[in-house]
Amino acid sequence: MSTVKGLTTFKKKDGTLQLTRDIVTWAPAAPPNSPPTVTIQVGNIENLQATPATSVKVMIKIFTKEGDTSESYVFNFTAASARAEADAMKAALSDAIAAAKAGTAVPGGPGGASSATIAATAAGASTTELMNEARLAKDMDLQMSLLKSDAALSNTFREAVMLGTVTSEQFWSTRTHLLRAHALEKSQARAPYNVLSTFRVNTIDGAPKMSLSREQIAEIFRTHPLVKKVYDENVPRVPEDQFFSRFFLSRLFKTLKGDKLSPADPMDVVFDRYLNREDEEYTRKRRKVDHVPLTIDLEGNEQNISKNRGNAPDVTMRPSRMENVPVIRTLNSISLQILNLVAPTDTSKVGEGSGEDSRDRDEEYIASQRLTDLGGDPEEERIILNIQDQRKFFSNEDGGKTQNRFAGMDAASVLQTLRQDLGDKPFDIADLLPGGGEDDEDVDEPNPAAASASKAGFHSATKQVTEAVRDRSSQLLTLSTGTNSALATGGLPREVFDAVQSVHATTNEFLRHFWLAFLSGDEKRAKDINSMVTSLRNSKERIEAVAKNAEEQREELKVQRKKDLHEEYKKTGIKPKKKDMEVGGGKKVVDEMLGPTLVAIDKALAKYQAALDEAERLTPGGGGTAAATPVGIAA
Amino acid sequence: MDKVDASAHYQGVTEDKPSLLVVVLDTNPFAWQSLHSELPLQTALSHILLFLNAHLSFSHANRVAVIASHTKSATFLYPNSAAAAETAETSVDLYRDANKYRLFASIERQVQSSMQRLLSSTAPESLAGTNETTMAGALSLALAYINRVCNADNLSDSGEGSGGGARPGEARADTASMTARILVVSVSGDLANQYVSVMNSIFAAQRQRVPIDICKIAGDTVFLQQASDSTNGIYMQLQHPSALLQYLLSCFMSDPSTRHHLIPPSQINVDFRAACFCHKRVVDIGFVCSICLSIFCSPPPGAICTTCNTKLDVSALGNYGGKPAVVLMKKKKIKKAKKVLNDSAADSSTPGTPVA
Repeated sequence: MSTVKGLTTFKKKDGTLQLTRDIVTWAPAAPPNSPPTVTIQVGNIENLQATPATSVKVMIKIFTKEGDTSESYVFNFTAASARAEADAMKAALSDAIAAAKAGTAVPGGPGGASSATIAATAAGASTTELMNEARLAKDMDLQMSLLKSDAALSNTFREAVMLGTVTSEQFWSTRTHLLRAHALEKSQARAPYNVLSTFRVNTIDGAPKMSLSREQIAEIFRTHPLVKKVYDENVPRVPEDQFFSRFFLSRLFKTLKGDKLSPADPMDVVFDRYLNREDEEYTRKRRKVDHVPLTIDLEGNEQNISKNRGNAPDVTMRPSRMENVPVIRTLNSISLQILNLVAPTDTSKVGEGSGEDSRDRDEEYIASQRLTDLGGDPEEERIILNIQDQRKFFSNEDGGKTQNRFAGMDAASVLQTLRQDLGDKPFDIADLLPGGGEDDEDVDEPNPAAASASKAGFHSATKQVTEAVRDRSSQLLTLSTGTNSALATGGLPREVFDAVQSVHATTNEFLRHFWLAFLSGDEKRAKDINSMVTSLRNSKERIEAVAKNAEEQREELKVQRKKDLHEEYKKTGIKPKKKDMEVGGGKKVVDEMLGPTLVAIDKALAKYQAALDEAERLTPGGGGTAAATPVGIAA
Repeated sequence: MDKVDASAHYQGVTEDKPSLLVVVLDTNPFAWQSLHSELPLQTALSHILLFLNAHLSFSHANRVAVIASHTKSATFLYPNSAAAAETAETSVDLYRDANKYRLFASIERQVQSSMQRLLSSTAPESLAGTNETTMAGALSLALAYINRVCNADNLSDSGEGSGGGARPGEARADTASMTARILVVSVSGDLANQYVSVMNSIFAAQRQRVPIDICKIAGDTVFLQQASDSTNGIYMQLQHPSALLQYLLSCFMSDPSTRHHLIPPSQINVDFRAACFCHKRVVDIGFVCSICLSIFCSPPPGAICTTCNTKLDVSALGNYGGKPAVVLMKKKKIKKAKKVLNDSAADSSTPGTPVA
């Protein structure tokens, strides 16, 4: 690595800032050839700051951290070409830092050992970086992009944070998992794929149509450099849209895609010229594989069992340019190309292919091929649970409150009556069934009153069952029909239903933060509790407003419906049915939907009020508590 | 691989599977006594017996079992070998009754006589302090019986021994020779003390695809609701216990294979709360051991899980669940206030607490 120099002042003294390999030094200019007074290992550099290009002063600030001590150095570039020098220094420094972090610190450098350890910690940090809660909470861009991708969440955010009292930190503190998932999702890049096979020709009005986006074209060029070459060489002559429409009909397209050519395929002057040129393109792009594990090296086969005599190998195994197996060859080459475009994940191992290392990798490879289930069972590492006798705890609280239901019943007499009831002889069940004893005069005949009572019971039982079935079936129907039907929204108009959903989501957000703060027992959060309580009270009002709006809408709809039906009656002479007059929705439905939410709010407010009263009673200001405190201490 | 599974191609075979019905009858004497005016035990028993007869009438191969969940034990009322021997001795003429299907008569006799024996063998002293019955034991008995009837019989019947019971859980339900369900006729209340065992039975039933139907005549339990919900059974709280038979016939008659085509009359609001392991309270918010998943209503003493003895790190909880700090106060005063509060909470029932 070359040396980068710059004339700078440091602590108001002139000197030279110099970067050699991975060490930054600054030597004062005053006594010439004096030893450097500042030496910084690149690996220790935590952060780098530079003044923007527009500012007059040109400075670079270096933050370092070694162990627990952090320091910062400011270098002011003084030369005539200060900006250029600073830029060069900055670029070199960032490169050196990046190299140090990536673990490939300049070999042989004096700080090699220390930078290696730092690289290790840096690599560890990058994997856990995504998991760091504090970092996620601060990453505004990430949050914005998550909100953009999730409409419901963004709605809640708007209602609760932008219009409500929840702070952004609070909002995200309960959603770290979402942020983390989103960060992971974003950090993943899409792998290359066989782009040509994704195109489908749609036939519209008899003519084949196809749409092609800029990204798709770029993708084609990337995976098939040959197409790019054709495009470069021909496009000004051939108009672009015509180029692609011809390309998708050409033999070249079919070959690249991996389809079989048929003699009926149309010829194309432009594209057919390139039909056999693909190979050279591929070989040029092919990644150099410097080491093939011996276990999968086919070259070894050739030496071991030569196929030069006897039967020739199968047609697919011959390294020839047989034209009768183009499909296999094309598919192979496409896979190869796609693989070439994928960034290798095992980079750390590649490139250090010394002899010993490669043997290790061979063994590693063999180990990965071993059929583990043929070996013995590995020793299981289980967590030992020391389960204690559960009965010990059973008796703890027994006897305290259990007797409430059957208290005051005498066991002996109860048993006695039951035994009497049951009798000691077998009884005929027919006598005891409803209506069973009718034709038997001698059995204790149920009197008419009892008979009618049992009949009523029978009917109401049937009613209960049928109602339950009806309830259930309407629910199942709601589930099976989508969210857009009137059934799903309970007959509410769409916008009212949306309002209901939104107020529900926001209220839940408030409730969640309320309970988090309320149950935390942390007095620092008392303020949060108060603001949440205010929000909850507002939520109640909002629910009422939504209900009112729903009712108004319903009235309007009712009037409208009546008018419509009346007009229809005038036209057709058919009297409107009563069923058609009914309009769903209204306050009742809203109240039903948000009923549980209201209950939750009331419960939260009641708990808060109780706690508040308690606290007020205990403050010295309240009456009577002055006496309570000392007694409390005495107790 | 060695056996071609052809059963899947014959839809008819799976649909026509006979059905096993296990009735678990809650026989809490106190509960039945308090129900006496509305539904005497004898009447209830006759309703249930008629329901069993109806079930048996559907198919020759249908079978039933009745288990009593008593205060201190769970026993089979039918099939019951002792009762069977007794009935065979005492009433031979029973089977000569031309007006009754013999199987019906024998079941009725056996259930009645074993019920009578159960009650007469119960000592009054043993009832003291019992609010609930051994529902967990009864459910376990029922599941064991179902397993025997459905799978053990299947093994010996098919003879090949390669399929059937040897396969784990999920597959078993398909190869079983019978479909089975459990109907719990419950009259007593809370089961919190048996929470763990009841939940285990529920999960076993879920795995075996045995629906647990709940016919709730009186009392209120959280866990039976969960049982029916998680096993796809039917939960019905009777509003009119006197019409028990009507409920039984209209809600609980359909066997598991028929149910796919019907809308169940199940009530949907399920209470999913759990009971804590330490005090058997039903809790809204609890603490869960990270090792053995035991549930506690408050962090266990000494931060050691009482079930698995694991030392838990409760420091992360902070002051969670402590006294809510509503108003900003100076630190000292809060401490004092807390002390008073704790004292008053500990013995709030005793008169003369300083705060009151």
